[in-house]
Amino acid sequence: MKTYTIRYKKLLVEIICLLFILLFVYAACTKLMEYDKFQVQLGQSPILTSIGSWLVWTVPAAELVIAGMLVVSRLRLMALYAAFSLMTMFTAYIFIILTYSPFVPCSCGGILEKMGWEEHLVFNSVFVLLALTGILLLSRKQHDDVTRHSQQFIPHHN
Amino acid sequence: MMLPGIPNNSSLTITNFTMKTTVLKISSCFILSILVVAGLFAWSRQKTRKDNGFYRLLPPHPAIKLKAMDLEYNSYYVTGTDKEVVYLSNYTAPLHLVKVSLPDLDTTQIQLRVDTPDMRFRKNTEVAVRPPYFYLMDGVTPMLKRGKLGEWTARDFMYNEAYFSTAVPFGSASLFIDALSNKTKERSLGIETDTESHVRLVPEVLEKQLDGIFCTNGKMLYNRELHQMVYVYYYRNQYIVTDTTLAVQYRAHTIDTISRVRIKTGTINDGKTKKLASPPYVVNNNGATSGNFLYVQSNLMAKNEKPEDFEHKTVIDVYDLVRQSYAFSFYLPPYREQRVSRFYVTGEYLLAIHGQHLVLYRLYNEFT
Repeated sequence: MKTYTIRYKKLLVEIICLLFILLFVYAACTKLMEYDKFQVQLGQSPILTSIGSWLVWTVPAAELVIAGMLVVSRLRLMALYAAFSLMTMFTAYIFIILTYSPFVPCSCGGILEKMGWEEHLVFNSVFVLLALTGILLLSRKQHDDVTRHSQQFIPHHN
Repeated sequence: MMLPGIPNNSSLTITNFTMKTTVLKISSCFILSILVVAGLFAWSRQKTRKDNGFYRLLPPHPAIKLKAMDLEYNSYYVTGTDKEVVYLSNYTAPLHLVKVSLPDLDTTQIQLRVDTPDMRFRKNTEVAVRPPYFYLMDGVTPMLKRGKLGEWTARDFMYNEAYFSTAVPFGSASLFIDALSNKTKERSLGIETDTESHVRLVPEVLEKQLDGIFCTNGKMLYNRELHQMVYVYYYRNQYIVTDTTLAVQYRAHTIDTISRVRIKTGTINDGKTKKLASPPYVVNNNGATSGNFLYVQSNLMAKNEKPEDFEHKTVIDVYDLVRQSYAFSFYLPPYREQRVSRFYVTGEYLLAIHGQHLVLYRLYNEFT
C-alpha cells in the first residue's frame, strides 16, 4: 500500500515536471520564433510598455532554463520553485491586466493565442497549483529518502 | 525499546520542520513574484503616464472600418455634422455641398446659393456647418455669409471687416478667429461678434517661442458638447483649452517630447515678409474633437512602435478633455494605398478622407 502511494506520487511528480517542460519549451519557442511579434506585443502591453525590450529575451530564456533544470533530477525541486514563481508572475500579470489596465491587449503565442484572458487566468492558476503539488510531493519524498537513510544508519551507531 | 521510537519521533519533527520551510519557501516565492510584477507595473505606468517618456498605449481594434465610398475628387473635407448626417465641402468648389448619412453613407448633392449670385469665391473659402446654420467664410477678402440648413441660401449676416486665416463659428453670430494682430504683427486668437467692438483679440492664449507667427501655428477646434475651444499647436507638444470667451482653462502636453518649436524663420524684403527657412518639424498634423475627447494626428513615432507600422499608417492620439490626460492611441491603415489626409470625429464615428475616398470607422473603446 505504502509503496504503491510512493510510486503513484513519484509518477505524479514526473507528470507534473513533463507538463512544465512541454509548456515552457513550447511557450519559449513560439516567443522566439515570432520574436518581432512578441516584442511588439510586449511593447504595446498596457503595463509593460516601457520595459518590454529586455523582457523580450529574459522571459523565454527563463522558461528554457527552468525546463532544462526540470530534466535534471537533482535540480528538480529548485526548478519547481522557479516554475511556481514564474507562473505566479504570469498569473499576477493577467490579474493586473484584467483589473487595473485601461484596456486588455490581445497577445500570447501559439495555441495560447486562442485563449481568452479569463481562460488564461484559469489555465495559469492550474499550473500554479501543479507546481505547488510538485513541490510538496518532492520535498516530502526527499525528506522520506532522508528518513529511510537515517533508519538504516541508526542500527549502525548502536 | 527506545529504538523504534527515536526514528519515528525525529521523522515527525523533521517532517514538521521541512513542511514549515517548504511552506515558508512557497509563500515567499509567491509573494515575491507578485511584488515583482506589481513593481514592474507601477514603474511602467509611471513611465508612460507621468514623465511622458513617449510611449503609446495601443489597445487592440479601437477603430473598425464600416464602409467606404469614392468621392471622385481629393479636395473634400468635412464641414460639420447635424444629428446622423455630415456635410462635406470641397476646397475647389465651395458652393458644392454633399450631405452624407451615417452610417450608410448615402449621399445627397446640394448646390449652395448666395445673395450676390455673381460673386466669385476665393480658393480658400471655407464652409462650416453648425446647425441650424451653415457658414461661408473667407478671411482674405474678408467675407462672412450665413444660411439656414435646408434653405441653402447664404447671406451677409454680421460685421465682417476682420481679416483672419481661419475662423470657427461657435454661436449663431460669433466666431473664433486666428488672425494677425495689428499691434504686435503676431498671430493671435480672437472672437468676432456682431456686437461692438466686433473683434476682440486675446493675445495671451498663444505663447510665442520664436517668431510669433509660424511658431504658434496650429489647428483651432470647437467642442460643441463641452463648449470649449481647443487649439493644437502644429510644431510643439501642446494644446490649449479655453472657454467660449477665450479664457484659458488649461494648457496640456501631447505625449511626445518636442516642447520647443524646431523651425527656422527668415525674413525677406527688408523684414516685411517672414518665411519658413527650414522644413517645419511638425509634431501634430491635424486634430478633431467630439464628446469628451480630443483626437490628434501625430507625426512622431513612439518607442514602442514598429517603423513599418508608422510609415504606412496614420496614428491618432486620444486625449481626455475632462480628465485632462492622455487616454490612448490607435492607427488608421491606408485605404487603397492612400494615407489619411483629413479626418473628423462625431460621437462614435470617425470619418477619414483618404485622397478621393471617404472611409467611415466606428470607434470602440471604454471611454466614448
